[in-house]
Amino acid sequence: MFKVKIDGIETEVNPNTIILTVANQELIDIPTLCYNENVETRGACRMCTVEVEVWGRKRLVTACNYPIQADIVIETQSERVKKLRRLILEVLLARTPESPRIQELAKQYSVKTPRFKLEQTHDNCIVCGLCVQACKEIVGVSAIGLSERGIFRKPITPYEESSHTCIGCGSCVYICPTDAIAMIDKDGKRYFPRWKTEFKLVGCETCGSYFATDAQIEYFRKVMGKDDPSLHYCPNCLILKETKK
Amino acid sequence: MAKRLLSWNDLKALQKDLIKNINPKSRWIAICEGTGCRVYGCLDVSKALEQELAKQGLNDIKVMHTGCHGFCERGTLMVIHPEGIFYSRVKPADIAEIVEKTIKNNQVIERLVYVDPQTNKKIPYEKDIPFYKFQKRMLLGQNQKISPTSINDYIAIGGYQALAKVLFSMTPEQVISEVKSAGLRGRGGGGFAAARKWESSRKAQGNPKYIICNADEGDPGAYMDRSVVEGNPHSVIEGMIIGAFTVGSSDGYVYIRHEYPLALHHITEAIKQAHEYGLLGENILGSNFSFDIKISRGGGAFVAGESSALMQSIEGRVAEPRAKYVHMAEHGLYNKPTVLNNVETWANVPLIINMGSAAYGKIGTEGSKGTKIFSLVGKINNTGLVEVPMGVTLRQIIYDIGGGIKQGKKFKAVQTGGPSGGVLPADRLDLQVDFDRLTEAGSMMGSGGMIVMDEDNCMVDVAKYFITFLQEESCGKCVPCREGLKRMLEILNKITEGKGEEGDMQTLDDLSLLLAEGSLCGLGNTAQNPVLSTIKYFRDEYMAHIRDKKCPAKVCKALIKYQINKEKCTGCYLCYNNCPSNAITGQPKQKHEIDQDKCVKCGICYDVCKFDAVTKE
Repeated sequence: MFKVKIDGIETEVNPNTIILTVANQELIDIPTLCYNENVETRGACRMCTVEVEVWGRKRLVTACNYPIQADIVIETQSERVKKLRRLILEVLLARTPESPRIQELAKQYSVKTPRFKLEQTHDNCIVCGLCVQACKEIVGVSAIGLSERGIFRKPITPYEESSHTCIGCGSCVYICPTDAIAMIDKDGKRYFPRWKTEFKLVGCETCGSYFATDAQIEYFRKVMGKDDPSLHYCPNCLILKETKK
Repeated sequence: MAKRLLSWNDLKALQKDLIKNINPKSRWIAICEGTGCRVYGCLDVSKALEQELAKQGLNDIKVMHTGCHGFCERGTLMVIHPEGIFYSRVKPADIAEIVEKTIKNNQVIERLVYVDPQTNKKIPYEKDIPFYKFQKRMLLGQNQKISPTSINDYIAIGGYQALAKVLFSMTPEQVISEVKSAGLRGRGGGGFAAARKWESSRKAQGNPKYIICNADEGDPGAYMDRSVVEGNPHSVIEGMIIGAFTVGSSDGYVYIRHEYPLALHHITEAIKQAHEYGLLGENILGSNFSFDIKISRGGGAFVAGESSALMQSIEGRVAEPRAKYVHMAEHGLYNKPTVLNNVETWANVPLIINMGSAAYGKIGTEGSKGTKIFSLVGKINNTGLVEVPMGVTLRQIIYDIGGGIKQGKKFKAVQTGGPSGGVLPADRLDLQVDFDRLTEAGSMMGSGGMIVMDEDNCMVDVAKYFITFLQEESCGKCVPCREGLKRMLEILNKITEGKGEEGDMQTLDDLSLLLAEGSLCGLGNTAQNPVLSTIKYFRDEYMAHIRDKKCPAKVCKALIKYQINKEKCTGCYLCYNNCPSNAITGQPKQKHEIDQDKCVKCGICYDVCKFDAVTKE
């Protein structure tokens, strides 16, 4: 066990506990963008940077992936931390001036108009990579990936053409921290403009409401290796059926 | 197929056999066949030489096709032994004369002899040439004695003896303690103590353990590692095997960039030869120790030289750095304990074992031991690779070895450490070059790039060059490096275009902080150095661009204007004929004039005018 002092609160943790976990336990809010507990941590957005003191040495580390390996003092709101977060938000706001999530964080950290040219791409993507990770690690189809490098880095489908492996599940949409991926369900079809990919929606055999794409059903059937009621009925009707039994 | 060496005695016997017929007084010729000299056509020179020797029946004269000698400015280089006569810029047409006069009749050919640009004196012998005389060539010196594709050459000069000594007379702890007392620090950039990495990896749990040689040299203008791998691949392999024995590793990788075809060829060949002799593979030299090396080729991304990104690349993924809160020595390649050192570091290991840490530790400064190879490039007379003991001053490197600035111009600054390093001005010329002093001065050792700049270099433009490079090479994973460098470059562009504002200096300062404190990896953490160091030493130059809209070095196109001095112009039409944008008007026997609206500021008129009539303001 190591002694932890986080924003003045003292506690003890097991070796290799991640700072963010301790913060959550102590109800201390650390802002994150690229962190999601369901996928591997990349530490890319740097928003969760905190100041730590270990062995008498102070440094900045990212709370999402720093494993505690000694007694530690953690400051989540020191001046050094706040200054860095403000600078991160200033460049992010210049990149995605229309993103409500970034606007909200910027407001919280008193970042007003960035000193830089505001991008006019109307794209809220901050290239955190969560969509790519969800598609690979949770769904398991890797229909999208990060292409190019540096400022041109972006999530795309292969060759930026309609993807053959995408199942239209929308996991990328749900995990995106800045709502940068649109999913449009209309006229029995589901469309992802960013991925240039379109699917037929399948209706529930009981109530008729659309609950999945055809590719999703096909993929689940393959993964499960058999037919299953969940491939025929929407979640609501499925629960009703189960309770009736 | 070579006979496997089954013991230290076998190796000793082979070495004895290899040198028994060598007469130190016999004549032999070393031709540099490094990449630099190949560009100058050295292969044609070698071919011509061998043909001529055969024609004259001089078959007993050995021609050694060596790796890089370092004096790349003067290629093709040829050294005729035993006297050590040094000929440079040798062409195939010179060969007949060389064979006739020098080889057969011991005469020195005056026109091929090196002329010192500072004194205008002719210097016939290599050992007397200032470029070589002031160096301490512990690593590069070996390049000139061996053919990189011959393991026998390496064994003849004592190669693999350090390995045998380690295997049969030392414990891993003794090796660690020896490397520790020698004070070996990593030559790849950070200067981390090599022995400490080895020690933690040795203690770490996990199997297998990996040894990696980082040969992904990516700094603009730097090619030290390429020349070591090209010229003496066995020294790197020997160092790696010693490292592997020390940490208990069975698997090694050489990660080498694909743009280094010759180095790749030589290291591949060397690994094959070492295998045949039983110096790699199972039961090395008949001992219980087994180790093998694979080659992994990189696509040439700058970021792939960062240790964690490099390991991702070996694993077959995109080279993206990851957090190093858990050390690579414990969780590195495939999450196993891994020791990664660069080419030059590994090549130093056999030297330390052979010399002993006491002797090795005498070279260098308190905190930085041994020698360091620098690639000395830019506005310098003697472009090339120089190996110097740590602690020599920048002035010694630039003036004594480098022969000073080209065309007698004024020294302005030297950029050390590549894109992550910084520039140092004239008043820092007496700075002793070692890891700590360079860092204190706002630059860094890096892997050893040294770019010399003169009065014609604009420091804002230099910063812009490096930030452009870094912006293109940033992997784009973390926000500070990806977005911060983009904005930094925007501001530098603005300043060099004459649109700079007072607040820009503060913004550059803030962005530097964002990079240094916020970036995920070492490349981002140091990316601000070119900007910070130029601001530190050349703030006036930034202010001249911002306030006066002037570029003092007359480099930034938007801030300069070409004009024709009517008094000097003879109306010769030379500028008129060469202007690519038809911006120059002229009538027979009339003075020329430049139409500023059409002028693209290419500077051709300025360069071609024979009467100094074109001015740059």
